[in-house]
Amino acid sequence: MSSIADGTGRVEARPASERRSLPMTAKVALLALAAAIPLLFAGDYQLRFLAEILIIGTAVLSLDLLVGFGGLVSLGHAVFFGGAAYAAAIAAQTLGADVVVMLAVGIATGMASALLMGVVVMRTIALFFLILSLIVGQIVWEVVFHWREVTGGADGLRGFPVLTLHTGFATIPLNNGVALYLAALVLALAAYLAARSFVTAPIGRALLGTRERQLRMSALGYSIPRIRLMALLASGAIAGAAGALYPFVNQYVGPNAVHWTMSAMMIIMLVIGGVGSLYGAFIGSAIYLGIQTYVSSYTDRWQLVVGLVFVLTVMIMPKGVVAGLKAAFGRRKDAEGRS
Amino acid sequence: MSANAAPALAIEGVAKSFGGLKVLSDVSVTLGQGECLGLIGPNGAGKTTLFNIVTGFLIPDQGRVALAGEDITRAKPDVRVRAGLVRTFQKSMAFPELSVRENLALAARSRSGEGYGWFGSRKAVVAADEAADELLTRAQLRERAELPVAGLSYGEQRIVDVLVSLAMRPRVLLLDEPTAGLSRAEGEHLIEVVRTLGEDLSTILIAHDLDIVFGVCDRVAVLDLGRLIACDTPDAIKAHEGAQAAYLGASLGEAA
Amino acid sequence: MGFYAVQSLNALSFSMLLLLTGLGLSVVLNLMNFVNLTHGSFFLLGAYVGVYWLASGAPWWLAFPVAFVAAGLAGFLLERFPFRQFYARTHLMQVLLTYGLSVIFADLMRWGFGAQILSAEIPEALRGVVFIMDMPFPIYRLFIIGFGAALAFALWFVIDRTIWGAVVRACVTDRGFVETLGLDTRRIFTAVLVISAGLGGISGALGAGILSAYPGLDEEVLILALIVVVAGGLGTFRGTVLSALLLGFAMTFSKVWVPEFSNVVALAVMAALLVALPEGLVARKVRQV
Repeated sequence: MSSIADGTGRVEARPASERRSLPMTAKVALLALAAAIPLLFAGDYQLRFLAEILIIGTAVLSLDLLVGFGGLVSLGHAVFFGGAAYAAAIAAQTLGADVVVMLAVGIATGMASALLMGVVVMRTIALFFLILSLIVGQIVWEVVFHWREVTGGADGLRGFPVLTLHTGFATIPLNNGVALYLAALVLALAAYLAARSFVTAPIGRALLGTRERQLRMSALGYSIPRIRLMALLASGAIAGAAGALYPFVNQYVGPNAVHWTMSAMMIIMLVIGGVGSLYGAFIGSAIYLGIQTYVSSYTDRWQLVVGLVFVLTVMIMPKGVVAGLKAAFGRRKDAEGRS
Repeated sequence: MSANAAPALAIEGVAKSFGGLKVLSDVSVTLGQGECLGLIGPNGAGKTTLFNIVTGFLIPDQGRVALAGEDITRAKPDVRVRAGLVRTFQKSMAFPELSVRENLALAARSRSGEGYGWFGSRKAVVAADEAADELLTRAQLRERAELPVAGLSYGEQRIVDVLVSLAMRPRVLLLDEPTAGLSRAEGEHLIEVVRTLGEDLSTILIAHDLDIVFGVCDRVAVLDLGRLIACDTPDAIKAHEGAQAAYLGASLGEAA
Repeated sequence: MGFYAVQSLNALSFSMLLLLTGLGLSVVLNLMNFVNLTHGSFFLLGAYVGVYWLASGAPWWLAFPVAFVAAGLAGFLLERFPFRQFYARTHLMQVLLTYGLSVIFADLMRWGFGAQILSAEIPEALRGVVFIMDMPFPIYRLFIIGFGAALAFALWFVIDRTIWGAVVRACVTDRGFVETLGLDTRRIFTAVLVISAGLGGISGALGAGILSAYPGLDEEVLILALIVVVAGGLGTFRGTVLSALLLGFAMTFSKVWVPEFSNVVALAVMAALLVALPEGLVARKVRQV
């Protein structure tokens, strides 16, 4: 069974002794350093771009909970993300754009859409789940597209109040690249830790069980709809948090944010980065958006490039580029060691 | 009738057809508290279908199923498990890539209701692991706890299957061919594990090995072509003509 | 009365396009257990071929066989590589591979045929309208209904009633067994995929007369065909026919009654169907335990 789902969900499966990598503190320090580098060298535009990568990567991370651990390939995931983006954008116009309020609105919207989706798709699996989630997503898209007074229709919504962070001392505006990048970084990190705790907690193990053997899980006394609903809610909350910040990066949210092609794009990112790895969501998002932004300035054929990268990943590195490259280099090192 | 006086499990007039095929017709059996009931019959007699109806994977066309006096005919499988009705399957259903301990812990957490925990579930995880280790110790499989189930011998895998069901602390346990493919000694050891680890347990055992059934069960029910043709003590069944006929010459008396 | 008769015929012609496209998908899914999301690309390729052929002045009726051959050839090449390597993989892997390929083809076709909408020039013989209960109805749509029905019937006959169909179905159940009979299962699978792709091409050429050809049509059609096949119950012939009719009529009549929310209503109908019958209209019975 050389499926894409192999080896996923085993985030902590390998005993520490086998790991050749650095101790935890060194890892954290390295990560912090890596995160700080853009602050020194990148301009405002690049920092906004990095913020976008992190925000969309967070949405892809939430999709990984469903795909990588529940075997639930959703083509309606954009609803959680885009729905929250619209909700935040609309709420900002009346409530102002306090970042905490925005996140609360986004998370609530993400979870509400997940609940709606969950009630509908609960009993379906595999291709039936794929199609039903697609249909639900497209119904939402139709509503967004046609409800011009609220959503701006095809034009979407533009121009929001400045995103702000209220601290005890002062109100900090989050309207420049540096601030947006830092906000996205905090969001991504929090989401990663939440997702990681989810997959290692009993609920995560149970979700993995439903992916492998549904019948067995019911025989063990687990309610499969309940597990799925919890996974959808967790996923919706994370996607919603990401969606809440999304409009403020480019000061725009349009109906494409809830379209099924957005969901398909997230799946492509997830597969490129590595299904079931959690961190792969950010790698995939960076690769995809990198191609989209930088290749498109040389040629109109950037979708061709994305398609080729995606197909090659599926064919040669079904566990994602990081795992794939690791394996390839590992083999070369082994070969060198032997010669 | 008070709940205490009710049988552990009562199957009343159950019938089931698939399309035109009648798989079970008017089957009634009761399982007393602490009793071990054998369920035998040739292939296709409807034994597994009856298990599927009792455990909620199928809904009967007619009849009812009651657990300790409470009607559960239409309850979902997971609800029945949490009420103490647990089964094993003919094929091993353990998660092969998970460790033995994790398999047992998954079962223990479902019974304690902590299987859905997310934040702050550390305690539940530790408790379930401890429960798993205790069962493994008592079954003398403690040193296998870390191994993935796929790495065990076939006989050990079947025992792990039974331990998984015991980790759910059942009141009624349905064993579907737990000894199939095992040697005589392995089969007897497995039954021994069930009897020593499952206190106050009422059991229904499906097995092709009649020696085991007649040796350990208090009563034996015989199914043939979806009908219950006899239900009595092992000695009475051995002498029962209809039961003998169902086994086409395989003399039940000789088997024991 | 006449109005509804004409709308029903409209729905029927649209259903027929959905059916033909869906059948192409469902043949491969049903007979080879392969999910092929490049099917929308075959449709769009056929549509472009149809548009160019009909504009070229060559005999118009040849447009359909030519579209069949063009898409069939594409299918033939894809079957060699990389589809063949994915027959034994999970549906998820097949979905990912073929969706990725469809992204590539979409961009290639945008490159080759341009981004504008190309409408097909309907041949002289099929132009104009007939009057049905005093209401005009385009002859071309009648042609789609007739041609589509004949094609669908032929396909059903071959798969369900002839020895070839039986052999292909046997391949899915037990490839090794068919091979011991001395039949080359690889060739059989190639043939099925070529026929499926060709069907996609013909559907595209037929559909070009109503839908035109433009980038993005491949995805729109793919989604509708997928909904038809899945809601029909994954690859039963009867289920696909029923769900194509349901979706065709739901889309047409929702446009008549609630034009503003037509897609929402049509999608909601299909969603309701899948909620009520999570395994589609005609579910295959499989023993679980």
